[in-house]
Amino acid sequence: VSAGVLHQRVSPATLGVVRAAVFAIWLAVIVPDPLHFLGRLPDTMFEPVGAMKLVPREAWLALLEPAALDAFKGVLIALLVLAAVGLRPYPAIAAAAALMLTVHQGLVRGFTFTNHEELALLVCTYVLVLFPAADGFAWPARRTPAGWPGLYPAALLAMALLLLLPYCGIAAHRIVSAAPEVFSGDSLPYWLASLDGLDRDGWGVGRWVLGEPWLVGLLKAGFVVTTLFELLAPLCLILPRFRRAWIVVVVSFHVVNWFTLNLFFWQNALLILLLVTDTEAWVARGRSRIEAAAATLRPARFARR
Amino acid sequence: VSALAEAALIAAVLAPVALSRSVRRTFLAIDRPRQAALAAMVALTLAGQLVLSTRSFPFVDWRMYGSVAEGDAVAYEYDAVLRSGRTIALVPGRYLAPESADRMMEALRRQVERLRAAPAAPADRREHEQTLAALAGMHDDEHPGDPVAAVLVTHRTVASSSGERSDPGHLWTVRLR
Repeated sequence: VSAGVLHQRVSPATLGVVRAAVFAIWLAVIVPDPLHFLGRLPDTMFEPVGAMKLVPREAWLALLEPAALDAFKGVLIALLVLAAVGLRPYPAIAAAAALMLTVHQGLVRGFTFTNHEELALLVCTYVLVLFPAADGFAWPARRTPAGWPGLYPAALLAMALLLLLPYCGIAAHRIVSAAPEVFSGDSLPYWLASLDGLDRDGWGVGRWVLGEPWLVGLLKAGFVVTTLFELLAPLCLILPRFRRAWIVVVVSFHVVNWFTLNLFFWQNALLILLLVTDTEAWVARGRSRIEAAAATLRPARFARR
Repeated sequence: VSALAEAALIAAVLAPVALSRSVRRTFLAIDRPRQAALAAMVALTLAGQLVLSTRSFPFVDWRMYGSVAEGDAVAYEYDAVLRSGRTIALVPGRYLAPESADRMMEALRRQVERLRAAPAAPADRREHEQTLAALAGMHDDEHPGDPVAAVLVTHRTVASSSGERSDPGHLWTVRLR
């Protein structure tokens, strides 16, 4: 089992690549979303979530002005860029970014409801705050890693565990609370019908599928298989063959959900490819390819001179 | 009982991971403060799933597609009548990022269902109108020459057996200016 355990060998550069990728994903989430929109919504809609309830409501209402929200977003984007780059002092920058991300994500949910789309990404960000994630693949480059070598594998293993654990929880709840009816009955057709209206500019595939009974049957079978894979998600940490199958099934499940239910957990799909694979191996391959490409370019440049 | 059964199922899957010598060695090798922080995060993730709620952000319960549903679905639609007389679909996804658009659609659905259950609630009515006005404002920012004059709220039934949609049924009109 030891040989197949995920992330037993992780270099500072690999954790650095993961850090850059996670903060880049956050930029893709935060930048296109007009946060000042919250300032136009009625205050009555806002119900603080989690620990945000401990902050006086007046403080939140002061922040919920369009100009204040734009300023908040500007600072957050700056911190995310600095954290992605790995600038010093990384621990302080990453902690500030994580704190502001928590507030940002709490605000958007406080006005609507607590969905799950960015939550795994947020928890992985907390892990990046705890570890020396800017010892490699950072600018300016560090001469020597500050951390003890065992920290880097632990960071990636923890992120993978915290990403996989909710999948197991979802499936356990589904099996205990609703099996077998949720698989055999009309639940899936109902969701295909109801989530079609989530986005009028969406794919419209869900409603089309409902007109094809054999496809509904196929999706129902897929729902059972996906639930089993979700339940067993933590085993990805220790079983390499199962891990490969799991990635195919669960990433496909996210893509199918996008087309049929208008819901795409693209952040989770990317995190799976980033964290539930042999990250060290593909980062090393990428580095050697870049170095080889650089080596072939260098003589050509000198030749031009 | 159901939380206990869920906990037992999760524990059964986690047991081989926890018993893996390599996994334990990796986590036991790091310093105590980091061990404590990671253990707290795992504990909060499990607590969020088993004993906390959807409002215990960021460690919440994950219960997607975890209850039995049946019957036909009801979809709510919002159309903007522009000052020019043109009618366009008022879709949050055209102005917000996908994640925020999804959340906004769910918030609107809850408002509409509250109002359908209790049409005389003035505070709920005002909140719903202000929400639609905010969304319409996003359109107006992009098209100041042809702002939204009113928003039509309609509903449709989507047949779970065939995917066919009923014609839209008018619920109410929110006049903005």
